[in-house]
Amino acid sequence: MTRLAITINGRAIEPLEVRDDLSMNDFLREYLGMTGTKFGCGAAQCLSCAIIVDNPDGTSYASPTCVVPAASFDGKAIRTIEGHAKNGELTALQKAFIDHFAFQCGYCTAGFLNEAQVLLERLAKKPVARAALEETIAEALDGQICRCTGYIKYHQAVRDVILADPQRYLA
Amino acid sequence: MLDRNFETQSVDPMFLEPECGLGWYDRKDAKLELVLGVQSPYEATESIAYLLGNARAPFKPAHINTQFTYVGGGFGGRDHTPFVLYVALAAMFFPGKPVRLAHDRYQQFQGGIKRHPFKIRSQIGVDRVTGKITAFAADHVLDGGGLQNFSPNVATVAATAAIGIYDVPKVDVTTVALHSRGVTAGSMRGYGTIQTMTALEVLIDEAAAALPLNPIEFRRRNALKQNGRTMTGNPYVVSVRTPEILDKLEMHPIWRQRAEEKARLKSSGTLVGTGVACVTKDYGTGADTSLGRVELSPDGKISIICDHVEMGNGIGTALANRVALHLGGVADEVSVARVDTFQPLGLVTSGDVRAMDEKTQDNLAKNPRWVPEISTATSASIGAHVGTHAAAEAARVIFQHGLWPAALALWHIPPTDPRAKDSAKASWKGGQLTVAGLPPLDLPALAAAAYAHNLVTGAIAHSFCRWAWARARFQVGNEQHRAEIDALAIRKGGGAFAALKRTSVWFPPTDNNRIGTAFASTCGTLVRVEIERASGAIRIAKAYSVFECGQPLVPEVVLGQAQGGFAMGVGYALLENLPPLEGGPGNGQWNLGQYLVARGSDLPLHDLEIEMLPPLTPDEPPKGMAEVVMIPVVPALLNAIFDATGHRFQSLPVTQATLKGVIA
Repeated sequence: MTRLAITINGRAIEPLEVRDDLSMNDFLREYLGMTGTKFGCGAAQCLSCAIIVDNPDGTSYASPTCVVPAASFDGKAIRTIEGHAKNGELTALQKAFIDHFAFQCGYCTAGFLNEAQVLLERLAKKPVARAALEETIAEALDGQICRCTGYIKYHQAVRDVILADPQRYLA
Repeated sequence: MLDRNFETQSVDPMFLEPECGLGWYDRKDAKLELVLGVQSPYEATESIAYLLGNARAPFKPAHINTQFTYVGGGFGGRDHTPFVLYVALAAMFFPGKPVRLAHDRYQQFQGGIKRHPFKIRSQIGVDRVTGKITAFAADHVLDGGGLQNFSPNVATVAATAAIGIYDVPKVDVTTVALHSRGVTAGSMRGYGTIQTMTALEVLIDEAAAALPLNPIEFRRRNALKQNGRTMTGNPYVVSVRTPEILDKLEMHPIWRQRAEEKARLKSSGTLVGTGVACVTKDYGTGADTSLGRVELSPDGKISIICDHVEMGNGIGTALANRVALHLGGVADEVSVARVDTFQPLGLVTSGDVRAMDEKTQDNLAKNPRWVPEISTATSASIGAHVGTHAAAEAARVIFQHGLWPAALALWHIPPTDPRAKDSAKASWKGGQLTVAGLPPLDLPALAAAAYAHNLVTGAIAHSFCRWAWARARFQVGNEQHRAEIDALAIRKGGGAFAALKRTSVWFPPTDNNRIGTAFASTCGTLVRVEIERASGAIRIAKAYSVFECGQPLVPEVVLGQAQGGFAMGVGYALLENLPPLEGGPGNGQWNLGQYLVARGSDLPLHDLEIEMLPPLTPDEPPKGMAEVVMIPVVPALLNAIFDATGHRFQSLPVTQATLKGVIA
């Protein structure tokens, strides 16, 4: 058993004793009832289960939760799909996903949203040339599997958010 | 004459949410509670009741309450799935305990329904002078796996699709589904037709090359026209727009520039090829139903309940949009996959809907509560056409017998005034009901008036389609309401729902059961591929799909289905493969590391053009399109690979390794 202290969506969770083999996916879904994070393959291949991990230096990265033990997140700050909207106000990325009809069944959407949010935060720190934008988005999202949509609308939604704020995201 | 063999592989629907369910059995009350996610809610309830119906105490529940959820993708694999039976059994074996049964992905590959692998022998005869197909024969052998699921149905649909878009005077198709030790195969998007039409469109390409004749011109000469007879002898009763689609394909730059593109990259070690295919896919099964319940609140809020299932097909949005055409507003609440809320209709059914004779149907129809089927699966691309139909008709009842008379009251137009008959001249503009010369009225005001005058504020309808809609008349107040529904209940003001007596009911003739299909949509696809000679790596550089779907209810969803169908077609053609028997998914070792589906990098994300033909007329009904958009992608890719490499593959998938093998 490991004592797990973790901050989720800006809120410190009361430390909990968890089994060493408990996956982060089960911790979120079963212990905390945060079912926005999905389980797709259990092998880190589809990334429906991806969440955002915030580094102390202000950078962030997306991490699968299905194959990663909850205990390995001890002391870390993470964000899940439940943490994007603030006071009911959707983020620009969430709005773009809706405006584009980017998702259909929605099962992969949390993973796409988290991965795309990480991309936005990376570009805000290290903008990319306009000419490299499409390829940058494609590389960033290529780990996610969607079986319904054919990916195009997800990519268009992310691109629109970036192009709407070129000073922030483009070099 | 060409005589060819073609083989297709087993694949997994790979919906992202593995199958799961909840159950708990209270032995004291003998009540079984279930929460399930399937494409066929009503069938699941019937199956569970059948499973437990003859059990002995204490394993026989007195009540079964099943709730159905949204599902994370279906693609056919959640229609008629045995998984729900295991959930019910697990709950029964652990009385008093909540039970959750959930596949992980390995188990989903192991136990989930698969697409049927086919072995196909095709023979085609073509008159060299006219370029007309004179005869076609095919033998299909399907591997159904260990449990009989939908194999007979898939075999039949596959056979009736075996001549695709063509008008062939002599056709002989034999189709056999076999039991095997393999994983169970059942329904999956394309439903046998993606197998047979891939084989056909590859054969057509070869025949065109052998004549030689431009492959689009060859297709045009042989395409079935409007009112032409299908293989089973009947014409389609919906639009047939194959010639228009072939013209679009021929004029497209991907096609017109195919020679230049091939030459352009010749020296770079890249093989370039362009492929075309055009198919038509039926929608509907010949016995399809929907249930719809629409209610209007006193302040004009609209709620819709439907028995069809949301699984990424967009039916929730389609329902809201279709009802909005009648009620002027987008629903505030849409609830789907419901089979528990239509009791006021008091429906009963009996007899075999697909096998009964006309006399039996006529006798059964004398019972005003009898319908041929109560609730059918969300499958066969019927979401838009059938799934939304009952709710749309319920909304029409509310308009005709609720909102319209409410408007007349607000306009102080008495029933004797000729304008009282002008409901067809009314239209919704910006949420307001407008008629020339009268002040526009908004929905909340109309709803309030409908309640105040005790007019119709809610309706529940049932519809049945056997290649034509059942229809009937119902007495609503002083008026006869005639509609393409076979059961109707209404609510006046804030009262309770009450079923209306139907008169002059007409059910589509039972002879329609002998039709293979009468509804179909057509889609054509062009692809350009670039194959690296050294490695066999294939890239889809550009693609174009053009299709027709009648009136799209939600164009954005239709576009998404077309893009998603393209991706799934790419996976089927180039990536996905489950080997049979011991090395296959039955061993419980398969997951997405080994089973490859199309990712973004496998697709022309910025060079896939989708063209949706506008409806022929503004009132053309929606047509099913969710499957047809996937199918031509597969043969178009194979034909493009032939154009690039000179090798005509006769089995799927064509992977990088197999490509490297033929071009090395």
